[in-house]
Amino acid sequence: MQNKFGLKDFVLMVLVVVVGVLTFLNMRQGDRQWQQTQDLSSKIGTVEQQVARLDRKLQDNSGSNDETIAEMGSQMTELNTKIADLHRALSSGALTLNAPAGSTIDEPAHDSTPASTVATGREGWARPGGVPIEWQPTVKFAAEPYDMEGYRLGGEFIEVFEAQPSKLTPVLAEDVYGRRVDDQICETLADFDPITKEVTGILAEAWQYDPEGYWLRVKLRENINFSDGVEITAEDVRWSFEDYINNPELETEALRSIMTSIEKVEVISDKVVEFTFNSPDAYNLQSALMYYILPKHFYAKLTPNQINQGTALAMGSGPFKIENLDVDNQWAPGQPIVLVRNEQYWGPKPALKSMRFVTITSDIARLIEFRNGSVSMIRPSSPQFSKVTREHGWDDKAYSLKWVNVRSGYSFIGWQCGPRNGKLTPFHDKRVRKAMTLILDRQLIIDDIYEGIGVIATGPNNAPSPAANPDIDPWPYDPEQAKQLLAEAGWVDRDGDGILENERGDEFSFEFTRASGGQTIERFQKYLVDQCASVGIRCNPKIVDWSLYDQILKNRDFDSITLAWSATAPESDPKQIWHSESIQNQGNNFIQWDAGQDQYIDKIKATLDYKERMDVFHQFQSLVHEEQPYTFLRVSPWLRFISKDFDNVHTYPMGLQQREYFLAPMAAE
Amino acid sequence: MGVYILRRLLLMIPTLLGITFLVFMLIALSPGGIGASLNVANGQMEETSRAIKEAYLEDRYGLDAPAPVQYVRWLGRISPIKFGKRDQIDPTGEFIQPPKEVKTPPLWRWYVEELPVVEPLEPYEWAGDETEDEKSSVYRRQANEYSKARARLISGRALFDTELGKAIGTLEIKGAFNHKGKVKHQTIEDQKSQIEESEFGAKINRLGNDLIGYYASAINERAKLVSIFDAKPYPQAGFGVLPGMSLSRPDLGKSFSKSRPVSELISEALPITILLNLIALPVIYFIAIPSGMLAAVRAGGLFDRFSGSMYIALWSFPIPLAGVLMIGYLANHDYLWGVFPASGLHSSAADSYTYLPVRGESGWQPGYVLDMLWHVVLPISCLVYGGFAVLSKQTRAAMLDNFNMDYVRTAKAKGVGYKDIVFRHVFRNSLLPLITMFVSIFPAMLAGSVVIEKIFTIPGMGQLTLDSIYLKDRELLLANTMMIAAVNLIALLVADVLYSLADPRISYK
Repeated sequence: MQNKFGLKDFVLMVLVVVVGVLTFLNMRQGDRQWQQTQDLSSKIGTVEQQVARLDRKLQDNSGSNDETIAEMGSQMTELNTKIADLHRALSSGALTLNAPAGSTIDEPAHDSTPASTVATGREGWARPGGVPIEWQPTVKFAAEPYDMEGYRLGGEFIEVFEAQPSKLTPVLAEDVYGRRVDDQICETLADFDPITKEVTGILAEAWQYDPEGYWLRVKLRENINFSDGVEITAEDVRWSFEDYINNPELETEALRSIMTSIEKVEVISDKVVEFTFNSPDAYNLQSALMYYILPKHFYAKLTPNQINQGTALAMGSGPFKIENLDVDNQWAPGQPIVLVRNEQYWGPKPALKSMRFVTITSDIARLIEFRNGSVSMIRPSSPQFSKVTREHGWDDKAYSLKWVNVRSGYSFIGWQCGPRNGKLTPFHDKRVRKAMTLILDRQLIIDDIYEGIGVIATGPNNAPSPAANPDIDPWPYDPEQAKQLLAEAGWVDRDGDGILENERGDEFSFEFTRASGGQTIERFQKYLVDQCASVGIRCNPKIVDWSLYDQILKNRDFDSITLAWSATAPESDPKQIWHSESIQNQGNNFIQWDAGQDQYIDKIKATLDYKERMDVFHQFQSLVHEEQPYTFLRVSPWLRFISKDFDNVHTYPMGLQQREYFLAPMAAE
Repeated sequence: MGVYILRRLLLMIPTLLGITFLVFMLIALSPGGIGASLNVANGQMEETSRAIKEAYLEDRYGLDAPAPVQYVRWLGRISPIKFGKRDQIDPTGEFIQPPKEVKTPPLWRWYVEELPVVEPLEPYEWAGDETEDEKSSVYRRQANEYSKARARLISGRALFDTELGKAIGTLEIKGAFNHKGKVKHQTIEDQKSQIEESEFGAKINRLGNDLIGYYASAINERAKLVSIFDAKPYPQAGFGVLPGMSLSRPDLGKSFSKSRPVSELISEALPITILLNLIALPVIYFIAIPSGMLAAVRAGGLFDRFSGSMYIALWSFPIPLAGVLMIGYLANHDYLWGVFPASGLHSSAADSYTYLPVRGESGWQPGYVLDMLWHVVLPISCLVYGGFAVLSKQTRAAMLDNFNMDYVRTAKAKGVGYKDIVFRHVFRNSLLPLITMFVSIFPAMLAGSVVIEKIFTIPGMGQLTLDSIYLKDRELLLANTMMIAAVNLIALLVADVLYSLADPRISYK
């Protein structure tokens, strides 16, 4: 009898395999459930212990049972009123978080003095010598939601990333997305206030900054703790800098190489820490106050290898936390990132129960997921924004936010002011550069190519940054004056062919380098070429791949190039881009501009006083405005769609504050 | 046959070496070279800070060595036969390699007659009663000291080079920079006096002398570390065969753009790609082959013409457009058919699902398996719709060829049933082209379909490979190339073996 392997046998075999696989999966599932029940029972155990403790306390505090009940009743009502008072007091800023449990609430403490007195006295921690102490106000939300109608706890805010973050461990996560997640989990000593944009203390209650700029003494707040309840001490501040960021075995080089001005961090007492700088610089204060404070007791248990290779070892003191910090079972890229509310947060608690970050790489899929209600916020592109906001009924579904803030960048055309491969380009003359700016109608570009979204950029800093000079208006569109300036610089049409020549007879022809991209950049290039031709200049576009840009910039191998800078803070050190020292060593002054700006930049770095520094910034901007080493094009506003499921949504000069949001009440049908 | 297979397997090794070497050199010669992604400014940096960061990264990943040297080092890491001192394994499973060499400081001749030298120390003496943890912490402490000393040397060297760069710039010395913009120290070796007299001279001299000091302390710390390493604080890795040679686990290295071991990255991306393709393949085959057979049996008929033109029409439709249309209409809740998810492989709440569907108080919960299948419908549709054309046409053509053969006429004359003729005789003989196609699909499986992965946000192999090329990530790129090449070669071997099984006329003797 023949024993062939026929179709029947094949089907049978597949069925057997499927059954086997399902059984195996079932077993795994059983394991998962088992593990979950174990976790649950241990949690129940801890809760039971806590209840037992509370029980005992109650019994100890009161006498007989009846008394206890009555007492409890009155205590509850007292508690309730106290909580309401506290909320109101906190939100009006009349109370600092430092009040110890016994103080009466109706005694309004002054905003800047702590109600409690630490044993050593209010200023006992400070260095003697008369350096003023800058006390920081209580930490609170920029827009308090507690009294708003419909305020309630709960809800999950789902944000979208356009690309997969590769890791979330603080400092090691270098991409924008990792830092966004870490900003919710970890905190810094101070940060920029969302509205006033000034450096305001978060973990720091006060600091003393040497007028010469060599040291900074910081006092931490009382009653601040990490997400596991352990108190934050000065040792954590020191450890985060010296043994985490500066640990050569950890892959923290990117941050380490920027923070070279901090020489050491010393622990003065439990809550007081002192930074020593090796040279005074205006940005030392930011540098020292704005790195994440990480818990030493958590990270010191791990080997450097575990930290380097861990994908999500993020623990801090922020309003949200990662639930799972098990080293062997971490989050892997590809899974959604879920942060839960830190119930032990020392500051104003967010209403949101959790925040979730999902990755959607296709922009069409992002918009569709937003429409479906699966995500709470997306960053639409400009065409999507203008098209979708015109839809009927869109305003009921979503907040369409468009605003220029401190983090908006600007796009520009950089003109090669120095030699390119030994030869000077036409743009070494500032009159020529100014003429190039005058022939471009930037408002028309914004209205036509960018559908009206954006404003003309005036300089390296733009409103609302305090470093922007408010008296400077962008150069107007004036081709006639441009022709005059070109003639002054020696560019005249000498042979009647429509193209300008200089005295030597060379034609005015230059290369415009840009990266391959979409429709907007192509239309811009066409406009540029046309406008140049209208005044007699030949513009030759050169399209290169984005990966070549870095080399072109480093080797200064361009006549003109278009690029964009973005900002992360209200003011940024101009030295990297604008100082003449940055011309050498492939620095970022790739246009090789050197026209007296060094004195302003050096003064900016040396001026420790905020207001004075802003004045110098304004003067610097005036110089840049005159010289036009870049033609500043456009400041791109931030565009966001946020689902109307959430309330208390506001835009700030520093961006958004998702932690303030709460679930809006469902609209009555 | 066995000898043939063995010969083919041995021939694969030089082929693999050739392929990976070619790909690696191509990427290394492209603008920016290996490791270009690390130096992309994500944020503005002063050039001293950038120089320091580049110096750290170069040291950690060995990027300053010429490209062939980096390739050979990678070969050494992945080969199971290792030479030199044996690595050790620490309790978390990481390889501890012997301490790295210290590079001599540049232009040291300007500052000292002879470089400081350190005598190798005797292996460290354990007290005898240390636990594993104590030994480990002794090693860790010294490793940290050595790292710090090395870091000082590296950042000092970066600062020294930066100042030299400034001096060279102002003095306009020609030819002093190599193509990457780094100072070529041999070129300026003779120009010490000129550089000293420039405005940066004092600072350069100070930094140069400091460097000698850092170098001395670095080699001291290294000697101490080597002595502790030689005393074996951890168990050694692999098996020793001869002194100086050992067998150990191949190490695919760490991706420096994602800072994680390559094997982890691949083990996360590969199952997803394999899952997609494992579902797509049977779908293509079970639709295309029967329709090809039916078209052959009723050649020229309505079904033949209709299916042929339909499949070719589908094949011509571009995948990106199809994907976008599918998301736009089949995933959008505003439309009737918008029931599918727009992205990803799992729903948001999927990590709390059970495997099989359950009906709870809050309604019906689809369960993990069903949820994933539901997510996978749109990407699979994109993957398969273009594949029907070729396969069905091939089957149809091969079968039509065989229908006209003599043996079919003989079988019909003998009285064999029609079904038997079609399935047992004609179809079997048409299998050869199909086998060829089947094994050429395997490599496509591994490379993944990048466009579909991007449109549907599926973190599979396609994205990984493309990332490694864009970011010029050496380890990831080499590992991916080697895997794809190896699978290609094995698939060809499997094809040849299957030929010999399917057709008794073919044999390899």
